[in-house]
Amino acid sequence: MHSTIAEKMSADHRHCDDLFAAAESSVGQGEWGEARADFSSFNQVMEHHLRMEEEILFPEFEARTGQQGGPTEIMRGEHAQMRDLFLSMSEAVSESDQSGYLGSSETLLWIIQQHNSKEENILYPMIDNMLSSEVDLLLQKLSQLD
Amino acid sequence: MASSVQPSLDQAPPFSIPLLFFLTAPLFGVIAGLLIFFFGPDALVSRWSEKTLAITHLLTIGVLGMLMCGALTQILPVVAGSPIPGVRWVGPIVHLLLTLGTLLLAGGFLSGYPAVFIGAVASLGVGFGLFILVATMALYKSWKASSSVVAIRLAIIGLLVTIVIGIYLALQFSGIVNVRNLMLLTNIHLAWGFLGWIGLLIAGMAFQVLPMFQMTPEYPGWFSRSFPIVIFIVLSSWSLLALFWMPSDEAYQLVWLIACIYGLFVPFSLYLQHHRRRKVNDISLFFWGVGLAVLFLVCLLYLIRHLGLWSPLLPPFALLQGGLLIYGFALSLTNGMLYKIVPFLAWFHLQDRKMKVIGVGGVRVPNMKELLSEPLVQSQFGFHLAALLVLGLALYRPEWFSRPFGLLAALSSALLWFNLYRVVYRYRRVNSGITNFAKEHAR
Repeated sequence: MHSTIAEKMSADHRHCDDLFAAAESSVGQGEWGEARADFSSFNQVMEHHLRMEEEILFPEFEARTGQQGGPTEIMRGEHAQMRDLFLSMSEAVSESDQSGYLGSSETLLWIIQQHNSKEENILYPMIDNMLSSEVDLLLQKLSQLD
Repeated sequence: MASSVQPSLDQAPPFSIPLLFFLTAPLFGVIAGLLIFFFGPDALVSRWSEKTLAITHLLTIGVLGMLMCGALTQILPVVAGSPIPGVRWVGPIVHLLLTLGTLLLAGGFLSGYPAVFIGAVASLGVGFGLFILVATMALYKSWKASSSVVAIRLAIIGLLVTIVIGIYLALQFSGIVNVRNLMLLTNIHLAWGFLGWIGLLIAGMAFQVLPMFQMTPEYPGWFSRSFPIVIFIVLSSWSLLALFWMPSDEAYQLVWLIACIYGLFVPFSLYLQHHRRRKVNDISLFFWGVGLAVLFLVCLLYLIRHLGLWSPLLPPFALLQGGLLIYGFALSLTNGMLYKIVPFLAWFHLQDRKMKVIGVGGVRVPNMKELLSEPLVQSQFGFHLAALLVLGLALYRPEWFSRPFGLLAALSSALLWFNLYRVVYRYRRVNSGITNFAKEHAR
C-alpha cells in the first residue's frame, strides 16, 4: 500500500483519469447506457477525491501553515470550477447531448491535469514534508472517509 | 517546521499577455504567404536569395518565435512551477520589439539598407535578450528539474546561440562586419534555431503535454532525460568542431546523428499515442500527426543524403529541409496547440472572473469546444494540408506552384487568425455579460 500522501493521492489521480477516459469514450461512441454508468462512477470517485483534499488534507495544511488564503485556496477554487463542469456534464449525459458533454469534458480535462500537476509536483510533497510524523495517521483518515 | 517558501499556485499571466503573441503570429504568416504569392518562383529558388531569407525569418521569428514566447509565458508556471517575473510589462515589451524587429529584418533583406538591419538587430537583440533573461530566472527558480524543465532550459540556451549568431550575420548584411565562414555560420545558426531552440522546446513540451492532455503513458525516463542533453551535446560538438577543427563536411556527420536522434522522437511519440487512454480524436491530434510525419520524413531525407543517394531529381536539400521543418513540422504542431490553448485560456479566465464576481450560476460560460467553430477549424486544417502538399510541388516546380502555395499559406494563416479572433470576440461578449449581470444584481 501507499506510504506517502503523494503516492496515494497521485494513484487516485490516475484512477480518476481512467474513469474520465472510459466515460468520454462511451459518450464519443454514443453508447448512452454505458456512458451514464461510466459518468456516474467517474463523478463519484472524483467527488470522493475532492472531499479527501477539502475535508482532510487542506485543513491539516492550513492549520500547520496558519494560512487560509495560500495555495489551498487556489486549489479549492479550481475544485469549484470542476464541480461546475460536472454539472454541465451531468445535464449533457441526461439529455444525450454528445457535443455538450465532450466540450465540457475536454475543458474539465485541462483544468484537472494542470491542477493535478501542481498538486503532484508541489503541494503533496510539501504536505508529506510538513506532516511527516503524521503521514500514517493521515493515510488512515483518508481511507476511512466514505 | 513549516516552510516559509509558499509557492503561489495561481501564477497564470493575464489572458492578454499570451494573446498578444498568439494573435500576432498568424498575421506574420499571412504576410509571408502574400510575399511568396507576389514574388512567385523567386521566393523558393534559392535559400540565399534575399526574398527567401526575408520570408524565412517572417516565419521563424514572426510566427514561430512569437508563438513559442507566448506559449512559454503560459506554460512555465505549470511545467516549472514558477511564472515569468514581471510578465505583465515584460510580455508587451518583448512582443513589441519582436514585431518591430521581424518587420525590420524582413525589410532589411528586401531593401538591403544597412540602417534597417541595424534597427532589426537592436530590436530583436533587446527583445529576445529580455525574454531569455526572464525565462531563465523562472526556469532556475523552479521546484523540480523535470525532463521538461531540462529540455526547456537547453532550448533557451539554443535560442541564445541562434540569436547571437543571427545578430552577427545580420551585421554582415549591414556591412558592419565581414564574416569569414558565412555559409558555415549560417548553417550553424539555422541548426541551432531548429534543432536547439524549436526542436528542444517542442520535445520539452511534448514530454509534459502528451501524458497530461492525451493521457498517454509517460515518455520513458531514460529517453526524456537523455534526449535533450544528447542533442545539445552533439549540436555543440558539431558547431565547435566545424568552426575550429575539422573540415565542415566531416563535422557534418554529427548533424546526421542529430537527425537520427530526432527521428527516434517520432516512433516513441506514436507508440505512446497508440497507447493513450483517451480515445477521442480531434483536429489538434491531426495537426500533431502531420507534424510528426513530416519530422520523420525530414530525418529520412537526411539519411538518404548521408548515404549518398540524393538524386538530382529531388529539390535542393536545404530548401526542402527548411520548408518541411518550418511549414510541415513546426507550423503544424503550433497550429494544433493554438486550438487548445486559446479556447482553454478564454474559458479559464471567464470562469475565474465569473466565480469571483457572481459566484455559482448566473452567467453560462461556454466551454472550450463551444468557443471555437468546429467547421471553420476543420477548413483551416484543410487549407494547411493543401498548402503543405503544394509546397512540396512548389519546391520541384517553383515556376508553377509558388504562387498557389503562397496564396494557400496566406489563406490558411488568415483563417487561423480569424478562428482565434472569434474566440476572443466571444470571450469579450461573455465577459461583458458577466459585468452586466453583476451590476444588475448588485442593485
